[in-house]
Amino acid sequence: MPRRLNAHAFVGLALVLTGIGLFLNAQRIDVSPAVVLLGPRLFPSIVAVGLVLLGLLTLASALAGSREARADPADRTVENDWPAFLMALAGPVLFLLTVETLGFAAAAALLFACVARAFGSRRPLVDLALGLVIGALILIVFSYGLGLALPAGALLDAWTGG
Amino acid sequence: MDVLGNLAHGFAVALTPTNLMWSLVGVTLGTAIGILPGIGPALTIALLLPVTYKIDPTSAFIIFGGLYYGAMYGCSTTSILINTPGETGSIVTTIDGNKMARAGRGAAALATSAIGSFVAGIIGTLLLAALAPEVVKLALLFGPADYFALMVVAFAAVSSLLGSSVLRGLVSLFIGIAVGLVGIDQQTGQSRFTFGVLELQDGLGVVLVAVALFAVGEALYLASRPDLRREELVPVKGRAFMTREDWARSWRPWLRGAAIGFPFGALPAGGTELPTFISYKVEKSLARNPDEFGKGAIEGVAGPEAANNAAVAGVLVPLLTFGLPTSSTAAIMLAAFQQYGIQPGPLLFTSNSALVWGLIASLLIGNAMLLVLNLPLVGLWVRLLFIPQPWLYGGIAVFAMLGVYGINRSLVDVAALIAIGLLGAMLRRLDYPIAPVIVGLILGPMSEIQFRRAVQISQGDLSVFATRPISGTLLVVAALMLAGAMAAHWRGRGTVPAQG
Amino acid sequence: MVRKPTHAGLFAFVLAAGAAALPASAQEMDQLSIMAPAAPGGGWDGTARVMQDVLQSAGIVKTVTVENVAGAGGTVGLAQFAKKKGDGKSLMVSGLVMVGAALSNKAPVQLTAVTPIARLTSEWEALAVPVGSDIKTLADLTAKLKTNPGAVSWGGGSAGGTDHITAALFAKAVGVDPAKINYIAHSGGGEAMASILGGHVTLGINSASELEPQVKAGKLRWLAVTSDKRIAGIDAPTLKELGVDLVIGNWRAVMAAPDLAPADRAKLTSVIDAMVKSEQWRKQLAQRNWLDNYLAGSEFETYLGEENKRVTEILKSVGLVK
Repeated sequence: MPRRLNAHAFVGLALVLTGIGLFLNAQRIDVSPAVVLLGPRLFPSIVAVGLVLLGLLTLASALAGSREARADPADRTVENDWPAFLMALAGPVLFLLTVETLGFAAAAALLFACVARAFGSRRPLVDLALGLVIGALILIVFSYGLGLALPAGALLDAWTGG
Repeated sequence: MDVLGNLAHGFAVALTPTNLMWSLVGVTLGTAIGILPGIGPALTIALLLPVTYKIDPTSAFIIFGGLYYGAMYGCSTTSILINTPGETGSIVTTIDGNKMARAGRGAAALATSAIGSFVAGIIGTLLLAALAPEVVKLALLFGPADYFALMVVAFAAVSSLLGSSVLRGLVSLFIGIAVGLVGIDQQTGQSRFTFGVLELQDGLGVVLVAVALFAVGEALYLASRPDLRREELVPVKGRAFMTREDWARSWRPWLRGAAIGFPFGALPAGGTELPTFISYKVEKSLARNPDEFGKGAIEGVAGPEAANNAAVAGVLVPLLTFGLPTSSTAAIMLAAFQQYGIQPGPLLFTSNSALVWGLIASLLIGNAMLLVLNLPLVGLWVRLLFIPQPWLYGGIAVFAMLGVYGINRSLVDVAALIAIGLLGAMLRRLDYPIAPVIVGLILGPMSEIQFRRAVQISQGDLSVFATRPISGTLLVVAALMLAGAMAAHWRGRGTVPAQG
Repeated sequence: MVRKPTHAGLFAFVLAAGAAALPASAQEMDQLSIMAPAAPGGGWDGTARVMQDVLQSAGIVKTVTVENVAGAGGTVGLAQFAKKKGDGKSLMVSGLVMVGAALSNKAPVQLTAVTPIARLTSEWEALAVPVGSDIKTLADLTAKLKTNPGAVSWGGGSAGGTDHITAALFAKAVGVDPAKINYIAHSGGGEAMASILGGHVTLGINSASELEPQVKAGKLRWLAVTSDKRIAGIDAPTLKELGVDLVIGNWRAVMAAPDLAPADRAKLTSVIDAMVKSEQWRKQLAQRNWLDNYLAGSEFETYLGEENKRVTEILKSVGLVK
């Protein structure tokens, strides 16, 4: 239980800090001399104040150990599988890093395989192949069929002469 | 305007084999698009525009109309089965729909969604046929002050979506509003919170955030919780369809949802999401057992799903009668009209009556087709849950990425997707509700724009909000709603312990 | 590395087959890429795709691909396009909106960085009021504006866009301080039209072709158009006629990459020239109701410079640009 309380306290703190940051940033928004009565700073300031208030309330309830802060599914054992989480995260990150060089199909294959592995699959080659097929199908349907230019990859471009 | 006669004429156009085929193509494609997160009717129609150079206008619009309707049918499927809304119009459906699926009542949820969509679609289309010009006149009465008041009502309605912990719900809401601040300020053209990144100047789109929070966030979170993954999803327990009780509890929400959705679609800046929030609130207030909401109340699925379908019919009203697009999909359809050199407007009904009435008739037929596609195939859709989880989520990840990256090929978008996805996973982990983030993202910017516009036009006179009849009335409604919500909370009805 | 936005193997294969069937007319180029700095379905995208259609069907270019890079009024596309230094096989659609956007968004790359090729079309703006309004003529509007500029609200598109620029230039031309005009920005024509039709703003300023159906249906009344000569089919006086020295249109043009070799530039110019003179182009213009406003070479460069200057000045006085 203490670990949960700390988490909520952090959330409260984060909200307060975000709110303050938002407020400060808002003061730096350019306001033009033109006729603008209630300008672009108003709403951000209101939201910032709101965030700070909510943050303080969250902090308060976390520290006071109120019912709300403790209302978590305590009756269920919470298992945490951080390696799986990181593997799932690796999927989109790898996509981000490779889509322009390897093309959509290959990047999709990596994405698919990482997420699949994170969810328990132990057949990486099958996953990669399946991901590649799905990615290629999408590439064909969307690029060829609908004209939505998805990168086929710089390597492929070089290979087929563009 | 002889409605029945014109309608009969329209059916003659719509019932030709070619047009029936196009209708089928449209609704099927639409359903598929609706299911895929991130890819919506607006983008699809835009991509199909070149294709339509080759076929005649009536057929093209039969496809587009069917596509738009179909998307609203399809979007509920994944909302209910895997807690991932296919369109922003079915975000609210995830709240109770997914809970129903987890309790083994997935088929009933899908059924009430499909039938409700059908009922609302038919009602909406008929209203379109009969009342179009009158509805537009009413819609145009809404000025910025009135819109703002409407936003306030929507905010008040949102209180029902906040979940069991009001504090956490509000935090999510404010996070959404804060995210909505990123981008160029519409009224003054100044950049806000873009940190010098050019791509952020248009803000973080609702679709991007929704896909990130729901699809990516859900995937990341579930990956980290093997215990939740192991939960047995029993898709069909007991009656594989809707029980008598389900019917009894659904039919009124269907009608109410249709009544709420249609006008919102017709309102410029209305959209298909707002009516779902309002419908949820209405259903919760009128239900016999409001505590069930959030745990699998069928009314919470029936109402909103009907609302988003009626909203689509509503969108067509100003588009066809005034050439006024009230949603991004409508704007693309308008562009399509212009490709053909047709200018929708008050004269369209007389100058191109075959097209308009053919389209309306075909939408009615399309609704029937969609009912068939979605209802008996319920068993088929439910099988989605039987795809091995690794592949299911792998597939969701790829399609989500397509939806985000495919449109703009922007790596900034992908980075934002990852960042917001992480936020979504964290929110889930700490038991913060997700839906209010999207609500804040949509309502925040809208309310700011309308408020400042109203004040700008009145040159600083804040009394407009009270003196304009529509605005004044709506603000009173909002105040009553909030008062009611607070009273209920203090009486203890709201303090239900949080559920996992 | 220069990114070639082709579809590689698959597409090329299909097009090779298709190309065999093309008329063996004056083919000038093998391959061309056109960037539309906007999402599919918008105006620039439409222009790009029509260009693609015409160039291919008239056999001027064998393969044309369209690339969409949307965002920030076209400046995201501009920034990306400006990286293709020396690329003689790429074009970008552009327009007045981009001039304004590059300035007000403080884009890292300005339109001056790319090579101008030609202006293609223009759309004229118009001022209109609801039929029930007490403003009957432009003179009424001018009078109201001079008395109390803040009380006249203008309904149009985005801040810094063509409508805004036109409204500000109008104010300037009739002797009202542009910084004082009460311009109400909307996102998209639909929203603006609703404000105008509903009478929530004093007047509307929008492209004439968008306002036309509403006027024809009797809901709006023309005050003036911004063209230099009266527009066929539109019964409205020009600003010039009424003594206001302002001519402005929402023009669209094509640009080429920076640091272009003169030979490449000449080639691209002749490709566009052939396109504009083709039968297919004329047909498309007629069908879509686009006004031909072709201007190429150094004349276009001069025009571009003038527009840039004009827009910079007016956006400064309105406060969007420092």
